[in-house]
Parts: sequence; structure tokens; C-alpha cells
Amino acid sequence: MDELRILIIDENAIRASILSEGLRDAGYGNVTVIADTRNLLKRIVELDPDAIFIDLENPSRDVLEQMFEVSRFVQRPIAMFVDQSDDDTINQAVEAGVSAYIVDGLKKERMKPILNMTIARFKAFNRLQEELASTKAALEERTVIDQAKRHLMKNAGLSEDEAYARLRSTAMAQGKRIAQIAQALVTSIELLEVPDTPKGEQGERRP
Amino acid sequence: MTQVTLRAGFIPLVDAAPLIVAREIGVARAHDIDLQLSRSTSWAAVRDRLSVGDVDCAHMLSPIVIASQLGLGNAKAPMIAPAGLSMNGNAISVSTELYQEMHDVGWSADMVRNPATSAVALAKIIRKRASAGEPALTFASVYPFSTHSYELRYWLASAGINPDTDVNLTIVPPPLMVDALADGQIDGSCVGAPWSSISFEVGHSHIVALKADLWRQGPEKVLAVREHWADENPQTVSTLVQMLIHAAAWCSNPDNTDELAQLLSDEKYLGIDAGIIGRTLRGLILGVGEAPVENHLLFDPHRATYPWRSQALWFYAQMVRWRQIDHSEVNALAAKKAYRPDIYRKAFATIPLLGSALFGPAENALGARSLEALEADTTLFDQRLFDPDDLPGYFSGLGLNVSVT
Repeated sequence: MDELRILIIDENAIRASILSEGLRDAGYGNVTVIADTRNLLKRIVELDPDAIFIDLENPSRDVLEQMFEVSRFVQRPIAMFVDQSDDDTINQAVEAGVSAYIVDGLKKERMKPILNMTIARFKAFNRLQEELASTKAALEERTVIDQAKRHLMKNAGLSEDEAYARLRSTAMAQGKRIAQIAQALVTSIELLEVPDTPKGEQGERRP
Repeated sequence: MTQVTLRAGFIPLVDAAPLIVAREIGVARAHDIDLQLSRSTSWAAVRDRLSVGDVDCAHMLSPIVIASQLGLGNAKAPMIAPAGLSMNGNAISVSTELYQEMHDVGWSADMVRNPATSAVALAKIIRKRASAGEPALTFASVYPFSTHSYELRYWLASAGINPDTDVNLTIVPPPLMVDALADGQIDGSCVGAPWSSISFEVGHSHIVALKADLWRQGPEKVLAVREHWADENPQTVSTLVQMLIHAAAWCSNPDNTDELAQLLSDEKYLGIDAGIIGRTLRGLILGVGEAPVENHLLFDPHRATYPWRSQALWFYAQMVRWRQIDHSEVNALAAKKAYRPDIYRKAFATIPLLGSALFGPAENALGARSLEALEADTTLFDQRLFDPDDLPGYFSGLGLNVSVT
């Protein structure tokens, strides 16, 4: 069986490498990644891929569609959504953010495992993104809790442990998260703080 | 009535306004619709999300809906347009260098409201460049099946420029158009509001033709739904159309322009400065004169939301003109059926406030409007009349050799 030529178009290097690594591990050796979409048509003509994978929301998809519409130089690939009757796979692909263009005539059985692999890898990438986002959010929460503790220690004369205990008991009493209470405290202190009287024009206008 | 949750896809453009407004000012809720908006960055993505049912309806380029009925352009499911969303808003711009060249061949900025003149100036430049052996100019639109692409082609062809051989036509997504003009990837563009204005304001291009001047009432985006889904959910589609008409009425009320600009500028919608959006909505287009451009962007339900079948046929005729499809009775009928005035009329008839007397009773797309109104709406800047009942006449008038199959 001749080897399938697979092209991945993705400006996100991490996602592209997660995907290409997965495809190579599964025995698809002929994988090319393009990040820069300039001269896309020329690159595609050179590579002559059997399948092209691209993020569903990549703005360059509209450019690709034009190329496939007008070009005499590329075999006409079609969006996977047209030819596939496997609705479950398609829904999973959309959910994971995958779109694929497959050269007309390529057998579905050959594409199916590749598509599934791509969906799985996109999902893995999405999970990674979510984890990163939640780690970032947790770090931000930690920062605001520390700020609130410092205010309580300074203004209410509490120890660090007492300050934290007060935040926690308030959160429990109000059915909120500690970070929310901390944020409310920090915001109200910011609101109450009298800014330094501005010098110059504004100050002089006062009676 | 129980509330129904509907998901709507959109692209960050000013003409997505009716859907955004329907959600934001409570019009959707008043119609018992929980409208969830889902933003995409490419038309291919919106089409796919609608095709597979990830969204129930979408802000869509009208030619994509027609193409889906003709089996063109990668749509998995046939779509229909039960209502229009907007009219006009697009503009053709050229790079600063090309703008200068146009002046060198005798064009001047005070001719900008007459698009025939800018096309003629461009034709002179193109001939000059060709005889000097210089590379062809590159113009971008936003999608192969787009209003922009057909407008750009129509405008070029009006001056005898063959868009397929005399220039390179390419595709650039709207938000990337500014950079593409700036770094010389393209020499000109046809794009929706507010991208031409943004590109002008940052100094990369000048508007040389407005869609409002190409076609006084040029159809632009539509509300698209899957045909199969519409067949199965007639009541929901009807309610959706009513919601849209109300939202469009709100959008077209000048008293709401500032609030509309604010709503659209939100990071989750357009993420663009409200000042630029406000000027666009008012037709105050920098670089094309002081006076507001009448009809620059219309949401007005008396004109913009009715899905005129004549418009579907105009787009179809352009597809034939540019060899995207062969003309046949079957194809013309399929294109016509992409627009569904029957659904619109039914929905409209039950809206007491706006009344149903606005449109004539005939199922014919042009209804019972006066001949003057009809001609004004269907005549483009080159004075060519489009008669939807005489496609062969239209094609032969364009010098096209179309054999009817």
C-alpha cells in the first residue's frame, strides 16, 4: 500500500507537533507541517497531499477553499464534511475543532483511522489548553488571596493564619469561593483608598 | 410557550448586528428564544458548523446558501435563507500606491461616488502595466462564493477588465485584509464594514468604490438555516424570522446607533473601536467625502430582511457568468429555491406592528412594487437592468454565450 501524504496546516507549533507525532507513531511517515500560510498554493502543489488537516477556525480555510475551487494545479480536495456519512465522527471533529480536506476518491476506510487519530490529538491539545488556563486562573486566585490576606493583616491586625481563616469562614457563610471574597475585599479597599491629590491644574481649581 | 435554545453562528462584521442585538437587548427572549451566539473566523467554519448542526442558524454570505443548493462549495447539507440580514456595507479599496497611479491617469478623489470612473482608471493602469510587461495586479475578496467576489468582478468587468485573466483574484480573511494591503500582498480589496475604513484610517488604502454606489440596494448577508431543519421545525423558523425582523427594526433606528456601536464593539463580538463602528453605521466614510453615504449599511426591515428571489437569481447569474456553474432551468430553479419568501411572509403576516401590506401578494420575488422601485432596486451602476424572468436576455446582454440545457 502506497504511503499517504498528509499535510498539517497549523500556526500553533505545539498542536502541530502533537498531531504529527501521533500520526508518525501510528505509522504514517509522510507528514508535513506548514505554519506560515504564505505561498500556500505553491507548497500544496509541491507536496501533492492526499489529506490536509487544518484547525476548523483557521482563517486560512477560506483561502484554501478558493484554491480548491479555481486551481487546475491541485487535485480537488473536498471538505471531509461533504463526503463522510459518519455523522458521529463529524460531530466529534467539529467539537474538537478539526477540519480536513481529502482528495476526492481516497477511500474512506483509509482515512477513518487518520481522522480519528487527529480528533483524539486535537482533543488532547484542547485538554492541555484547558489545564493551562485553569493553572493560570489558580495562580491569579492565589495572588488575590495573598493580597486580601495582607490587607487583613495590616488593617485588622490579624496573623496570616487568622486572616486566611477569616476569609474562609466568610466564604463559607456566604456560600462563595475564597477567591471571590478576597477579590471583593481587594476591590472595596481600592474603592475606599483616597488617591493622592493630583498636583497642578486640577488641584489649583479647588476653592 | 416554552423557551427554545438556538445557537447562531456569526463572523465579526458589522452586519452580524441583528443577531447580536436580538440576544443583547432582549428581543430573542421576548420571542421565547434563548439565543446563543457562536463566533467564527472563517466562512468555511460557519458553513461547516451550520452544515453539521453545531449551530441552528447563521449569519451567512448569501452566495454560500445558493451554492449549497447547487451542490457547489463544500456544504454537506443544503441551506435556505428565510430572511435577509443586511444590505450593502462593502467597499472596494486600493493600496496607497495604486491610488496614486489612479490619480496619475486622470482619476480624482471627487469621482469616488461614481464607481464607473474608478474602474475605467484601473483599466488604463492595467493595460499600461501589461504593455510594459509588469506583473498583474492582485485583488482580494473574502470567499469564492461571496457578494464581495461578485461585486469586485462586476466592477472590474464594467471597464472591460477580465477578472480571470487581467488581474489575480485571491482570498484574504477580513481581519487580515489591512495587513495584506499594508505589506503589498494585494493591491486592492473588496471587504465588508468596517475593514475598509480601518485600513484607510491606519493609512494603508483608499476606498475607490462603495457597494451602495454599485447597487443602491445591494443584498448582503442572510440568515441561513439547514433546509431539512427548517422543514422539521416550521414554527421555530417562523419565530426566528419574527425575532430577526424586530432586531433589524431596532438596528435601523438612528436613535439606537450609539448603543448598537457599543454592543458590537464588545470583545466577544467585533472587538473593534465603537467610534469606527458608529461612523460606519451612520455612513460617515472617511476618504469619500463629508456627506453621509445614504444606504451605506441597511438593516431596515422594509428593504433588507425580505428574501427577494430575484436577488438569489442575480447571484446565480453571476455564478454562471464566471463559469462556476452551467446555466440550466434546473439550476436556476434550485438557486431560486434557496430563498424562502414563503416562510418570511408567513412569519411577517403575524407581526401586528409592522403590518403585512408592505409587500405585494404575488409569490413572484418582485412582488407588487412599482415599476420605478423595481428598476431602481435591480439596476446597477452600469445601468444594466437585471430581469429575473429573463436570464437568457441578461446573459446575452453581457455577451455570454450560454446555451440553455
